[in-house]
Amino acid sequence: MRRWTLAVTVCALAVVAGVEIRAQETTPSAETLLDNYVKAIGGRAASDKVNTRVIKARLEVPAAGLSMSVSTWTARPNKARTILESDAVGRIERGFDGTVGWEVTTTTGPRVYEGAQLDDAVRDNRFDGLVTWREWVAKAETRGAADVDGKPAWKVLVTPKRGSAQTYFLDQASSLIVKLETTARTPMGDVPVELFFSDYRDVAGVRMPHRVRQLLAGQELVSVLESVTPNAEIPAGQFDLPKEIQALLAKK
Amino acid sequence: MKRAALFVLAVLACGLLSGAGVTAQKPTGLSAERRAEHLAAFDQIWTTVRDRHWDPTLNGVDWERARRELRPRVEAAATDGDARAAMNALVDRLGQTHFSVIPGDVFELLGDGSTPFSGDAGIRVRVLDRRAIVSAVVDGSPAARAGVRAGWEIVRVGDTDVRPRLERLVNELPETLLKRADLATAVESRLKGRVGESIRLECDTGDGPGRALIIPFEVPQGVRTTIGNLPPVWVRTDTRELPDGTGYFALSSFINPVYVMDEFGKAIERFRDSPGLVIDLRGNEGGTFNIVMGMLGWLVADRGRQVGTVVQRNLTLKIVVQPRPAPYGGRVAVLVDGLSMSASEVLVATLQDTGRARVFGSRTAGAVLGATIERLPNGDRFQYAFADYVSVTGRRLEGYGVVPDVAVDLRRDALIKGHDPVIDAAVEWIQQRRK
Repeated sequence: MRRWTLAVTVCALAVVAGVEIRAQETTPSAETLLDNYVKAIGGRAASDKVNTRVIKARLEVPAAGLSMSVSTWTARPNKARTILESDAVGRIERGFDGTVGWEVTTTTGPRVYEGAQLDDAVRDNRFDGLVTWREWVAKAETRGAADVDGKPAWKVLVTPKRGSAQTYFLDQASSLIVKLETTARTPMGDVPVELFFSDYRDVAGVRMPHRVRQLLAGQELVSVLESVTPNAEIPAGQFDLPKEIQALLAKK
Repeated sequence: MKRAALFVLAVLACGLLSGAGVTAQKPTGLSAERRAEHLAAFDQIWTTVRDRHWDPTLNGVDWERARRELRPRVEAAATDGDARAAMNALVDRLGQTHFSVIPGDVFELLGDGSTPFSGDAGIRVRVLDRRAIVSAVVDGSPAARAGVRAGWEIVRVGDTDVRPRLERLVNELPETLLKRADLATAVESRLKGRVGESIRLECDTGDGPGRALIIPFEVPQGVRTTIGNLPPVWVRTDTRELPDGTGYFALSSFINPVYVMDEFGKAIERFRDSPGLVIDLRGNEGGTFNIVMGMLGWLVADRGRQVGTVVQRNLTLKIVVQPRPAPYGGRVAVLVDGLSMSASEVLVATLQDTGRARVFGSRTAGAVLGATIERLPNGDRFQYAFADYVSVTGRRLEGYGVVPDVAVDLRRDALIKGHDPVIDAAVEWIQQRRK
């Protein structure tokens, strides 16, 4: 009841002042913003020409002086495997074969994703990402404007058919995604994460951010892409489930 | 992440035992540029604690007042040491572990063999009845080759008579949980030196004539590990079968997950059918939390069971068990003492709370906070805590430590006879449970 009262009040104020109505008229729809983003990175046709990617990157925690190497293999429609290695954490291997999300780490061994973590793995491992947003997004809403690193951006809340909602910040000038607010589902609980995207570069006709700054749990992590190889040949069996994961699934 | 704090402790303690400040500097004046670096470092420390300490009240400390009172000391500092002392005075007001400023120059050189603490004789010491007693000798170390044995009393190091100085320390150090660590470190820091140099020791063997030995300093035993801004750490494990068939695994620190988890995994498989497993964390200085989680997964089978909470400023994380496919099912005894710190205390508390292990030894150090180490504008490093740990039963460990289920102290007479009373008590319990 309280929410309804508030909504009525806001509408009434808008009618009287006329300000809110004009603002809404100039605020692009979420559909328009997402479509503009797809065009900004090169368009659907360019994206369709890429079927696999191999990415080498370095992930750093600058304040703590930590650094780790990251290797990622992805393929249509939704297969992925990532290996992170460092002296601090050992080896962390994660994958998604289209159905099963999993990880194997030096410290905690094998684990199969379940529940919300699996749902988010489904959301995050689509090769095309937002390029094909109409296929997997249940609802998209513009949530006003915000500054990101001093530049105006539009906020778009994207609710997928499967997985939790995320808020994208699209630069008003370039239409590119400059920030993402999301939640990492971990065995330790939900952790709010902010990601800042920059240094977009053209890779086979598709613009990709080559620097990603993450803020989570009070720490800053910076990923810098060292190489992106589109349409790379993926080693046979690269997306197969590891034996430890197969053994876990067999026990269920 | 306690190692850096321990290192600072070692420097200070060495000064106490020798009667001289090892980091003493002549006032030479600081350049305007250097002074600005120190002020920037002070400001970074002040701001970091204000923004990142898990407790917004900063443990009740008037932080603005602390800045007003201590920043002028940095501005007026005549030496790097003076400036650093003011910064340490700032974080000392919090009255918590895991806050310290580590001199950058010493930090940079720690691992190259040229600093006073880079070489090790291989002697581990505990202060028992106001005497510096060798509690263990590291296998393969210079001390082991020289014939040093557990139970010996170190009565003279170089030109220093240990007994009177130790007596003074025992009387003067405040009665805190960290006192046992301070005392042991005061002696052990005198048994470290530059690689290639040596130390002359005089020992009371307890069961025969005294011994005088010259022991060289060598690169410490273990796997040298450098992670981020941490100083180099030599990680040691010791896996062996005790005479009755019980497995034994000792770990010096929770650093280097690849090495530690591999060694622990092999120990689990080796002793899977043994009467039980003794995990020795005495003297374990802590390390990274992910290794705690990993070892827990080998020992506790309840997937998803919450065993503790990590509290940050705006975030609370559950610590839950992620068991291995085939966790260890046998009896587990864990050994601790006053030098068991940080991550090791979390593992012990968790195993104790879940009833998975019985804890033997003496109360732990109560130095349990989630911490990190950052580089400061003046080149020093700043270790600070940003998270508190609360066990699933609601107990804080910082300042309290873990009280063993079975209190057992080391005894010199037993060590001389080749016995370790704490291990003996754990093995006896495992054998009783077996019967």
